[in-house]
Amino acid sequence: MVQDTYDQRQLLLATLPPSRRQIRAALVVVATMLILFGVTVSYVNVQLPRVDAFIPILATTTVINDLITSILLFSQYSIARRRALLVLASGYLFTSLIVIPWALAFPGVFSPTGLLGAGRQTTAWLYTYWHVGSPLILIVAVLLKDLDNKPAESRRSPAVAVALSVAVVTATACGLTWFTIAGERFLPTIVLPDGVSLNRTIATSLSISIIVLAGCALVLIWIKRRSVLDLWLMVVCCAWLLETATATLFVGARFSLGWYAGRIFGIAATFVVLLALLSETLALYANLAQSIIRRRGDRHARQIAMDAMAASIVHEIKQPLAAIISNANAGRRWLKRATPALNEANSSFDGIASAGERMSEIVDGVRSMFRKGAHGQKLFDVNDLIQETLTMVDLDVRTQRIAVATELGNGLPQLFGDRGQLQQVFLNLISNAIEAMSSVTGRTRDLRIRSFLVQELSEVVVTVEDSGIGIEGHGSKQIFEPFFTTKSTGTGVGLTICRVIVEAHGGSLQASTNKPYGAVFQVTLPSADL
Amino acid sequence: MKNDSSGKSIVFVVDDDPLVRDAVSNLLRSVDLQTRAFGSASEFLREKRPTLPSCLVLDVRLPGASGLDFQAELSKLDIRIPIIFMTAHGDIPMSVRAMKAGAVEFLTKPFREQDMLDAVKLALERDQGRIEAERASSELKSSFETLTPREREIMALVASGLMNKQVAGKMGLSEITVKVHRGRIMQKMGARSLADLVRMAEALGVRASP
Repeated sequence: MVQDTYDQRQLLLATLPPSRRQIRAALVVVATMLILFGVTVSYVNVQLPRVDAFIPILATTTVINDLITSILLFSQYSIARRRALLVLASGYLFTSLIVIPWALAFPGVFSPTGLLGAGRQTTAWLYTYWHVGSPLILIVAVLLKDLDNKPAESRRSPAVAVALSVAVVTATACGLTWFTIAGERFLPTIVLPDGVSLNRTIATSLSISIIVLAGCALVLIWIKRRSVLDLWLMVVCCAWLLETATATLFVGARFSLGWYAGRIFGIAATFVVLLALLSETLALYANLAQSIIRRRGDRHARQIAMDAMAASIVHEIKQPLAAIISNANAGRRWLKRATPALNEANSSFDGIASAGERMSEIVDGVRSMFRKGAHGQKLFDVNDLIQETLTMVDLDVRTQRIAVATELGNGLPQLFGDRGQLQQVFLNLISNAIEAMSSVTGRTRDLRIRSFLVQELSEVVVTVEDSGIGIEGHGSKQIFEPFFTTKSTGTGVGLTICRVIVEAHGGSLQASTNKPYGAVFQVTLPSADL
Repeated sequence: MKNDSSGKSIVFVVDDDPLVRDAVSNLLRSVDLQTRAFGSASEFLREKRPTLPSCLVLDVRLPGASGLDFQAELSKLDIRIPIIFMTAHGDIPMSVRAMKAGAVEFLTKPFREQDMLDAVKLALERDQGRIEAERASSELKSSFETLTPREREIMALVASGLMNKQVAGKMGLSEITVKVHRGRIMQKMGARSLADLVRMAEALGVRASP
């Protein structure tokens, strides 16, 4: 099945390939960072004044940015269901959480020695978890991507998976913080007793491991790069590399120029994915809205064309009908005369007969018009057709808060016929169902579409069920009559034409009452294997 | 249905569909109405129409101009024939337009025969009335033509309500002469009373010059 063609998941940032413009934008960001790095690297060890407000600003920005990024990524996961996204979202949540104790414990910010009963090493180690953890989680996410190639039909609902991840991440962040504070004596010393200078050996080895991890992540993403998200994650890796390089590798002490510059690279890193997600989401949303509006227009135009065609058929049929009735009445009068005018009566009957023939020609013409169609016939998959039709009513479904459930049978045989016409049938039935539910309050609005095979008859059955006002009191026969309508706006020809189309394909269209509310329309079509 | 105008009236049927055209003609003939059928508006216009009470049964949808356009064209040509419209579209705005422009009836196909026959009867009666009124008016005009200028002047003055003496005074005639003229006017116009003459003057638009 080539179902993916119509899959909305294709439109997500995590799956959409980057455009040339986006690649160029990413290159510009990286180049800018490199230039800044080049400028600052020669002055890294210039000691600057200690600005205590810098840490809270840095921390707040990081917490908020990473939190929003993680929320956006979690929501992408809930749609795309790729575990890589879940891990990535968890990673951003982790950094946003670990930054909180880091800022609180930073000496001289909230209290001279830091809050939470922090020791001298606390912030340095929290910083390490943050900067080692981020590339590590990113590497895991990238490695998970391969497993996600086949969209795993996870049993768990995305909400449960997200809740679980949030719990694990929160527990980890809290646990690490506690361990760092309570177990400071078990950890190697990074910050020297003066509170400003660093232990070169440990600081350098930690920095090198961060750089190696970030580098690995960068290379891995480069190898497996596919999406817009991958592109911006590579930019993030570059920012990390530069941050670590300026902030710790060449830097001997806190509050030096390099230390400040490194933090600024760090903040830049938190903005990258966030801004990319926001701008791409907005752009995609705009595209989507546009295409939905366009599609609505198409639908409307097709509806009008259908109405016009129906009206012309009706006109054609009424002509001979008028002739039949007039001739019959005239014939009766000719015969009722004192001396029956037999010749005249005879020609009245001739008139009736030729009008009858004309009607039969018209009906044949209509049928062959539906049978051949302008688009020709072909083999097609009915489930694809249903999915495609559902996307056409997506906006209505959302705005009217209708719950759509599909149970599309696996391995259904292909159908042969005019795909466009049958799409009109499904569109009509689904639109009717939506409309029938528009006045429903006090109960859920459920649209259920099922497709299945009736093996012994080799027929494919599609049912459209709603919980709307139903067809009670109208009778399931009457609703197929032309110009019968329960709607305030409608020509009443829709269902008649639907039935004509389905019957022209050798199938049938039936209506019945749904339990406990609403209506069921059932389309039965012969499979192409027949 | 007994029809007083049978043989003395004619119904024109214009429909481009021969089936409908023939069927409608057949129906009308079966109640002893004389019919003439045409496939288009221009064919109908080319035909020399007798001055019998007549009406037009017209399909709204015609090749070329629509039935409604044709209705407007007839009115422009001052052909005041009552029209009964037929249509296979149940189009309300269209029927309103047609009725406003003076159509007798607007029937949707397939129509009930009684509706058609009633409409035709009404249309023929209306046309009969129109013809009679036109005839009376033209008779009046030709009678008026036979009056001498002086008689016309006297008629206008009499109709304006003046006594013979006043008329005589105004025109510088003797009262006797006025009386004689007046007698001749009554005779020529075929008026039976003074009131009759006043009504005729009114219909002819004859006014005394001030």
